[in-house]
Amino acid sequence: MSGAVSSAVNFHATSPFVFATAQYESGDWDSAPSLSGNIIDTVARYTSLPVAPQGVSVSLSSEDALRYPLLFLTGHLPVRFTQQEGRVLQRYIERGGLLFVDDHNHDIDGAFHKTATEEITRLIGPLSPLPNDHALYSAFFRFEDGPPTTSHELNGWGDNLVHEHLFAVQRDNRIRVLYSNKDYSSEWNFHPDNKRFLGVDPTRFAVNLIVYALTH
Amino acid sequence: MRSPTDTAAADAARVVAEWTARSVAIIALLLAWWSTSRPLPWHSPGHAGSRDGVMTVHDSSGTIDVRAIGDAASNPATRAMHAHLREPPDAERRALLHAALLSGLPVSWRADSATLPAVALAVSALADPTGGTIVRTVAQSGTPLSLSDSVGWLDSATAVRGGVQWNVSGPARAFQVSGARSAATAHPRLGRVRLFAAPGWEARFAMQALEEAGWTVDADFMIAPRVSITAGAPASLDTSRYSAVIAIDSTAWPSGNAIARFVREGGGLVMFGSAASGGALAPMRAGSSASVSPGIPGALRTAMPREGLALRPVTSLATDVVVLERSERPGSPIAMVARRVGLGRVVQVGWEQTWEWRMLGGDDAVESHRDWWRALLQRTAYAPVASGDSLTDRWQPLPGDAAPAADLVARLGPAQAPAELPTTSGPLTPPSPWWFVIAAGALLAEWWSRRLRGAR
Repeated sequence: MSGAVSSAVNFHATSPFVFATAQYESGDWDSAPSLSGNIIDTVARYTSLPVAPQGVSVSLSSEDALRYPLLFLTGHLPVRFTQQEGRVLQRYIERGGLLFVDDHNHDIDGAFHKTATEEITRLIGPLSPLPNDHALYSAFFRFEDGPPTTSHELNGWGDNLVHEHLFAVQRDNRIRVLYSNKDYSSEWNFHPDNKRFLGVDPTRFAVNLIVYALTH
Repeated sequence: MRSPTDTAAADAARVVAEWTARSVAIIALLLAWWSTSRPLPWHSPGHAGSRDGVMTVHDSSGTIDVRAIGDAASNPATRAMHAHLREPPDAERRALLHAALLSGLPVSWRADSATLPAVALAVSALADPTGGTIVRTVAQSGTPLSLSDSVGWLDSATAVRGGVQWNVSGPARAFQVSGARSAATAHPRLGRVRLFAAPGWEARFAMQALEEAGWTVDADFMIAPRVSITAGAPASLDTSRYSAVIAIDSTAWPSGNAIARFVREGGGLVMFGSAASGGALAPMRAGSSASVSPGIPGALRTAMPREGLALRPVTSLATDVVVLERSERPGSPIAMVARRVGLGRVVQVGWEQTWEWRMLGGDDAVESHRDWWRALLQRTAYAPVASGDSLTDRWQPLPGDAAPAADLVARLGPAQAPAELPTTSGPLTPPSPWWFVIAAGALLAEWWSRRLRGAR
C-alpha cells in the first residue's frame, strides 16, 4: 500500500463510516468520552470519506458489534471479557473485523495492559510487535518512525517509556487486533475547542488507522 | 445249370435291387439339393448366438466380448448383427460395431433404457486461481449418476431437471459419469482483478474475499481530493494483465471507455447497481437499476442470507440477457443477470453491501460470502487456454466418450429389434459330397446289375 496523488474523482459515497467504541462489562470502557468526536472531526477534515457525524457505543456481548468492522476499545481498569463477549470477539475477528485496543494508563505494568493482553492472547492469539514500516504508518499520513509519540510518553508519565512499537495479531497479512500502550486515549481525548491550539494535530494517526481498516 | 425258372426269379430280384439302387440315388440327390437350401450353420464363441443368420452379441457378463463381434462380422454366415446391451459399450466396441455396419452388414442394437442411461458429459476447468473443474452432466431426470476419476468414486447424485453439475477441486483431469468419460481442458491462464470502488466496507471485504479465493486484486481508492491509495499495482486495463473488472460504484465511470474496450476484448465485468446506473458503463449494463429495497430483517442468518441484503433490482432487461438469480421477495425481483458484450461477459448484481452477509450472517457466512464472490469471477473472468494445452480430444463429428449412448445412436442409429431377414438371402450350406458318392454308388450298382443280366 502506498500513497499516491491523482486527479480528483467525484465518486458516489457508500455507507458512511461509523466510529464505534466497544462496551465491555469489566473496567471503564467509556474513559475517553471526547475521543470519538475528535476522530470523526479529523476524518472529515482531512479526507473525503463519508463519515457519520456521531459515533456509537456497541456492547461486545451483542452481535451488533459485527456491524462495525473497526472497533475501538480502551480503559484503565482490569479487563475480563465475559463468555459471551469472548464469543462475539472471536467471531468478530474471524470474520474480518479489526479491533484497536489502547491502554489508557500508559503503564507497562498496569492492570489494563496485563489483563487486556492476556485476554487478547487467550481469545485471539499472541500479540507481536508491528514493524515501524508497516503499511499502517503510510496509509494516509506518513509516519517515518512508526507510531507517533504521545505527550504522555514525552512527559514521562506512567511507565516513563516511549514505546517504539504497536503490537498486533495478524492473519492473512491483515491486522486483526492492534494494541497500543501509548495512551492515544488521553492524547485524542481533548476538548474539541482546544484543537486549534495544537501545533500538530495529534489525531492524524487515527486517519491512518481508519483508512487502513477500510482499504485492507 | 440253373433252370429257366431260377433265372427268371434271379432277374426279378435284380430288377427289385436295381429299382432300389435308383431310388437310393434319387433320394441322395434330393437330400443333397435339400441341404443346399438351409442356411450355413454357425458356431458362437461365447456371448453370441445366431438365429436365421442374425448374430446377437450381448453383454450379459458386463461387456460385449470383442472376439464375438469380430467373429460374427467375419463369419460368412452372418447376414446381420444385433447387439443386446445393458451398459453403454466402450469406444472400442462402438467402433467395432460401427465398422461392421460400414462394411455393409446390417447392425442393430437394443437396450433397456433403465440400464442404458443416456448421459452426456461436459468437463471444463474453472476460471479460478485455486484450480478446480466443473463437470456438467445431462441425463434424464431421475437417472442415478455417479462421478469418478482415475482414482475412484467421488460422488453420486440423481439427475434433476435434466442433469447434475459438480464443482470438483484439484487439478484438471478426466472424469467419468455413469459410462460417459471426458477430460477437462488444461487450467487457464488467469490475470488479476481490477477493483473500482470508493473506500468502504464493501470494497474492503470484496478484496478480502477475492484474495482468500486466490485472486490478486488491484485497486485505487480515492481518500481525499487529489489523494488516492493504491492496493496492489494497478495498471492499464487489458486482457494480458487482468481477467476481470469489478465496478462497485460510480468510481468506475471515469474509466468507462477503458472498461468497455477491455470487455469487448474478452475481459469480464462484475457491475453493481451504483456502477450500472449511469456513466460510461451504461451501454454494457444488462438492465436498469431500480430503487433500493431494504434487506429482510433476520434473513442474513437463514438459508437465504442474501435476502437480508439491500437489493437494487435489475429491470428493463436488454434482449440478450440471461437471468441468473431472482429474489424471493414479493414480485420475484431480478437480483443478478448476465450478458455478453463483444468477446467478454458482464454480470450485473443487484445486491448491495454484501459485506454485511460476511459479518452478520450464519456460521458459514465467511465461506459462503467468499464462494459467492468466487462464483462471480468464475462466471465472468477472461480465462484463455493456451493452444495445444487442451486435454480433450480434437473436434470430431461423433459425440465420442463424452456421450456414449448418443455416440452409439450416431454410429448405429436408434435402438431397434433385430432385423427380420428374408429366408432366401445370404449364403447357403454347400451340399455334402457324401450324398453324391451314395448316389453314384447306387447308380453304378444298378448299371452293373443290369449289365450282368444282359439288360441295357
